[in-house]
Amino acid sequence: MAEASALLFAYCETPVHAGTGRSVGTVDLPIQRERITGFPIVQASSVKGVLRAATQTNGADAERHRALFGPDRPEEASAHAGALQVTDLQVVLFPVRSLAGVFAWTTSPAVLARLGRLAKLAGIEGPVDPTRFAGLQPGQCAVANESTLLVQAGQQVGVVLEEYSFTLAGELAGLVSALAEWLAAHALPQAPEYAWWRENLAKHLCVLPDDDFRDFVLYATEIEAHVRLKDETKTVEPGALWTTEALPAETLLVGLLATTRSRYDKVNEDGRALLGWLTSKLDGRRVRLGGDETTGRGAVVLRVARV
Amino acid sequence: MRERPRPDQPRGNGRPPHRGAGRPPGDGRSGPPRDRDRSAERPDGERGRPHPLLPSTTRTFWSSARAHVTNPALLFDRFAPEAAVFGDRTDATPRRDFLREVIAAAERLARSDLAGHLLARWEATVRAAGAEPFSVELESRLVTGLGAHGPLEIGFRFDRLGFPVLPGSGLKGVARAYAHLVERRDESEPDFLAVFGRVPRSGEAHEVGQAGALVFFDGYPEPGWRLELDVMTPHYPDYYSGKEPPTPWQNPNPVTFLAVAPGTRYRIAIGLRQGASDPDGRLRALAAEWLRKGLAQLGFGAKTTSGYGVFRSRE
Repeated sequence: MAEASALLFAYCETPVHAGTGRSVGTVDLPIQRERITGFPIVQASSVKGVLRAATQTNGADAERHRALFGPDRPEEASAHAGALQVTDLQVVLFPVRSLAGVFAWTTSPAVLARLGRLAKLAGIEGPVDPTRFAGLQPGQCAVANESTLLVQAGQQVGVVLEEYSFTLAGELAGLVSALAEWLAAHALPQAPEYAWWRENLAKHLCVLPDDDFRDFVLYATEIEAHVRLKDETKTVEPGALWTTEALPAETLLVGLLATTRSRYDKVNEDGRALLGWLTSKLDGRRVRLGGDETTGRGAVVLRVARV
Repeated sequence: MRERPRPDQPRGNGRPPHRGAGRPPGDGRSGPPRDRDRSAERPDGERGRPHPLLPSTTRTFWSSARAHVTNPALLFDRFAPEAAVFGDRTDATPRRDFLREVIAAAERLARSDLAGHLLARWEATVRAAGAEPFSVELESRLVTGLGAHGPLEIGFRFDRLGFPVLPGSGLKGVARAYAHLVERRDESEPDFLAVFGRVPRSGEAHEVGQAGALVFFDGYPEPGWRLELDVMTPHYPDYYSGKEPPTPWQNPNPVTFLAVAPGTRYRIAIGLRQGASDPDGRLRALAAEWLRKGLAQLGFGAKTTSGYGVFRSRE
């Protein structure tokens, strides 16, 4: 049983390709998705590996690192288990191109319900009651009053994302503002270069019905075509044309970190102390997640939110 | 009154296109279908009509908001008017007018607050990866992503928010091509191998593969970037598709497309992969040198043999 837990947010600064390596679909290299919902995820094992590599240290901290992540060497693997538990990262905000305001951060009631559940496990009061968005009808969306996403045609006011238009569920505007405030305070990076993001989140936030959100995360991810050219001829090598899928930059992901008491005999610390140490190493840290790192993919900023 | 298309003369208007929409021209497989110029016969209102497959409410919003759109990528991918997609291919006017709208949207984006904040964040991101960013300036026009699928026959590489970025994979390729072609280096050299890594060739053991030690980030345009309209005009479309000799009765076929304007400056960054080591920055400096020279001598993107995509390096 976990003694302490915290929310781990990862904000994508460049597209993130956490891939599955193969596919039978139209994209050659698709991203990891949850089987039931089709929502994109980053598997916990990749996340834990990145966290382990990012916090590797020497000296006394090296023992603490081992207590958290388990022994480094495979032959010692049976000595003790690590004290850290990591979950898959799931999508909280997904950016979609908008006719007004460049892009929208979209989310949905189901996503918010899961975020609330994770927040509860971490002992943090969740953003908003997701059941209050249950009234969203297909083709409707909820935005804040000061939203920059609004387009107007005569009497009609709406939001156009990609080529789909949504009408407003006006009574939910206050709730969206509250959600934006919560996310700006708990989820977005606190670095000075993120001031614009924290201030403008409310203006770009858009809560969609679950079905519409699902369609966007399924069909509006970043698809890049790649070729490999022969240096000598500058023509494409045979078979060297492929497509990769990536989570777009400006996506926000969330997962849970939980710790138990150390099971390593050289470290006698409880879960709270271990999580505190890990938080100090990770909060605000820039790491790279997923594949294609050497061509600039996978840059994320971490944020640890705990009580 | 609209003329009915004759059965022997395929006419695109209002029908699906007769060839792969995303295929770049000049690939030798087929030329654009020929048609007599009917632009004079078409009523003006028809030109700006949005794509017929757009949902009707979206069309309503679109027609009132089109003058304020700030995402050129969305415009380009989703809102091409009917006449620009299906229309008479020898009449370039609808496509040209549409691309001008895209260029105007790009100007609004380049002037927006977001552009400045994104570049500032980009600097923070790449510096965290150990990169020393530098600027390069376009000497000629730049075109990338010509072959991308889209409603128009010629694509363009925008990122999600509509910035004409230089993809990191392409930058890595240019640096590698320069080191290989001009400096005659290859994977037998430790520096070359460390910078670019290698993939095992077929028949080789899996263990010989390794990842490069450096990260080539996407290049971001600096404030003041612009897009321009460009045109190529194949005069003998049937000749290029191998159907006829270059006869004088073939219709020249103007194809308008987007290009990044000369003078546009890009920020480039080469960082360090997690866990890789380059304590004195020697590898990064070497790769930056290869990339600068590659951008100046080989060029970036498409049509580099026609002088596109040439950069000059600037401190």
